[in-house]
Amino acid sequence: MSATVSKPSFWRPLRRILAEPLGAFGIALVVVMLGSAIFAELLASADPARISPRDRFQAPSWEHLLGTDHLGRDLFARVLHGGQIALSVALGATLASLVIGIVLGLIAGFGPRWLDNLLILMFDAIKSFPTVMLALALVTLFGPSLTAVVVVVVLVNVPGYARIIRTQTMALKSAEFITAAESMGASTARILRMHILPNVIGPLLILASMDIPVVIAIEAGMSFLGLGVRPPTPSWGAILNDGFTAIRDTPWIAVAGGLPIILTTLGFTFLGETLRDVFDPRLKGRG
Amino acid sequence: MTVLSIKDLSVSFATEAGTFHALKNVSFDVPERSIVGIVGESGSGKSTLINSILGLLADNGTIDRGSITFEGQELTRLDAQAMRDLRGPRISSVFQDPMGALNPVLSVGRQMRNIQYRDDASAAAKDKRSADMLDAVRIPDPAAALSRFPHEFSGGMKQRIAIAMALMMRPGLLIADEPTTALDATLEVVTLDLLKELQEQVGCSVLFISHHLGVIAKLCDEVAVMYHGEVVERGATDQVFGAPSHGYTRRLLECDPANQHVRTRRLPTMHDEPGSFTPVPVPSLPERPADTEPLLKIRDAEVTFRTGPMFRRKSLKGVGGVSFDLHAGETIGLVGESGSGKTTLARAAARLQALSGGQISFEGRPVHALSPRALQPLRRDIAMMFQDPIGSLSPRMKVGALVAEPFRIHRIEGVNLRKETERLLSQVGLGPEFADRFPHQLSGGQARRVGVARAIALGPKLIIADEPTAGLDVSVQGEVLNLLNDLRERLGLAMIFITHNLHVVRHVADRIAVMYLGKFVEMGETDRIFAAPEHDYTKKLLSANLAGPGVSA
Repeated sequence: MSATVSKPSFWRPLRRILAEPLGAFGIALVVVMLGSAIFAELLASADPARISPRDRFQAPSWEHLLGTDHLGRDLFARVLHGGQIALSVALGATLASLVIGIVLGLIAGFGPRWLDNLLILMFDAIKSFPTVMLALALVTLFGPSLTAVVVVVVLVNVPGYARIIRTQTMALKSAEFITAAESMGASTARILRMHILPNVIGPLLILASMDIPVVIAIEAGMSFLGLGVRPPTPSWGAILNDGFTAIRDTPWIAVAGGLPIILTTLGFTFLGETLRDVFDPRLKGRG
Repeated sequence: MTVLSIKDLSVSFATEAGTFHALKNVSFDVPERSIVGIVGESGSGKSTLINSILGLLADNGTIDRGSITFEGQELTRLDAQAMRDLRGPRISSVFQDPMGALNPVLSVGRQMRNIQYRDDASAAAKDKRSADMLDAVRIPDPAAALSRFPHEFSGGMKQRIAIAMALMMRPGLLIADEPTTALDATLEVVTLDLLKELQEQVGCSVLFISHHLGVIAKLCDEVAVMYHGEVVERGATDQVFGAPSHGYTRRLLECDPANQHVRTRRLPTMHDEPGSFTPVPVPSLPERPADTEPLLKIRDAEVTFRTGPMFRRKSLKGVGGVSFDLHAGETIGLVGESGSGKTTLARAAARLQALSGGQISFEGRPVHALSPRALQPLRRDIAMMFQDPIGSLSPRMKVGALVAEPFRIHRIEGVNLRKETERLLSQVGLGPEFADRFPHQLSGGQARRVGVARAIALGPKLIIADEPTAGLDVSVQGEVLNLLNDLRERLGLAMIFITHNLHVVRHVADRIAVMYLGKFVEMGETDRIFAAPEHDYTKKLLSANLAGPGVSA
């Protein structure tokens, strides 16, 4: 978009998110989680992978802020480094799902009927696999790795995202402002990009930001099953599961693994809800 | 006796921007067995008035002062339960949108039986009563109609069913909120006659809200004129419309295009002093040599739709063989009721709809056969304006971007878009500050102006305007027509003007084509069509278009 007529500002929506208490809280949580993951090396001096049998099962102290696990590894360092894995997988996989889902959804919603039918058939076929089965099948084929986790997440998310975009695109297809754009000679690509996408993306962004915790759970679950991150790489899911086996005597391990998942979930959910309010101009300035 | 009496009613809403006084000291009475009309533009407080009577004010609204007495009962002091018992059996309502009023998943009979839930009668007796009501509103084969669903009826029939439902419990008062606005002129007349007949039969009173002065004049015994939350004038309809005493009423009457019985290039607007208006004569079309090539040439145009499930497709003729020529600078009015094929024909002329037969050529180029690439320059020459002023503007784009959109689409270099946008906005009478607004922040009239600005952006030769005044207040209709007339003279535009409102097209079109069931039944010079219509359908349409109430003009 050229800047001569209206300058799209990045700061204005941000300021409006911050003006909402929930939005500010959500952003604060997300920023804290992201920041602690990015600066993990600076914040936690301990090596997350260093095994020290003498320090097993130590309760939280100034030396080990969150205590240590069954191998004597510093949990604070493991949580921060685990955040790097969790958030990069969550953000990367969600972004990839969004892009693919939007493109396929727009094609299905605006394109010819046969293409729509074909895509819907594909979505339904993928949806009919339980997530764990799909994950097992893929890992059997390609071996356990972070890439496998991302591919599973994308496969699981894309059908839902594409369907949302498709349904809304179909509802808008015959709207007068679309016909108006057509009558001015706008190309299909331009109609999709300028006139349909801004009107359909809102709900998807909320859904996607609320899906981020689900992705984190998928990553944790797969890591537990040995299908995702291989030990000794730290992961919240792995920490949570380490803690699970010893929850009676040393509950702080489960807390160290569970708390970041809860906080990230809350942060992205609040952010998602505020995003919706800010991105839909019809909801503001009513009356 | 008075059925409904409203005294000194004041209602205000608490909004973020402060207290908004929606109604200020409103007083009027609805006598027994009479029809009282409320006239006013959007924003005059009509809806607030209805909601106050029905006890359905929004949460942030409060009745500050005054009383609403219905059959001797003070409504402002009733609790929610007592109010619910009144709504339906004693006070019932009919709204503008007939689709929205009926439940799409229940059969008509079931819905009508549900309305009688307070009665102890047997199901068969209730159905009998429902069928009688449907018969009263002239639904053919009422017994069979009971088992049908709302979507199986046409819009006019649905509105009649809604009226039947509203009057079934023999209420003391019927509140009708713009019940005929969504209907064609011919259906409107039928529905109004029916409403009057039933009102006499049932013996109820009607509070009839409309912005259409002709409808009010035809139907109502008394009328109250509302403006900015106040009743500025009330009295017997003949008296108020015949000899209006308030300046606003006088202006409103004068602004109604239906009240200008002489063709005029410029219509009066709300800004004019009442009484000062003189019609501007319409110049006759310049003589042109007989062999001039027309701008738009349509020959035997046919559009067929294929609907229904696969293998059982049915063909539906939208346009069935239409021919006409349109020369540069000339305006043709396409008139007919909904479903007559006006819009389909217009869309075919702009190649938004494929032809199934015939030819359309624009400046000698075959519009119906051009490749998408060859079509592109044509899109600059033919601009369209759509029916819904706000709905035809992309909701997430600001006015500035909307007006600049044609320049971006056609990649026109070397224009200062900001300056160009401001110039176009000023041409349609909008200030540069409008560039920063979103469509939902505009009034209908303002949105329509933005649509006009966008249509003229690239200097088209032909504008196709589909119902450009529909949905606009009477006072704004004149302004929009003036703008279109002004622009087309200044820019030498040809125009196809689609409408079902003959009074509007009269002041714009040089020629009128009357469309019925996909064909032209009559075409001729505007004055001739009005003075001596030849086809029966044209005559029917002319008599159905309610003339404005007789004002001494």
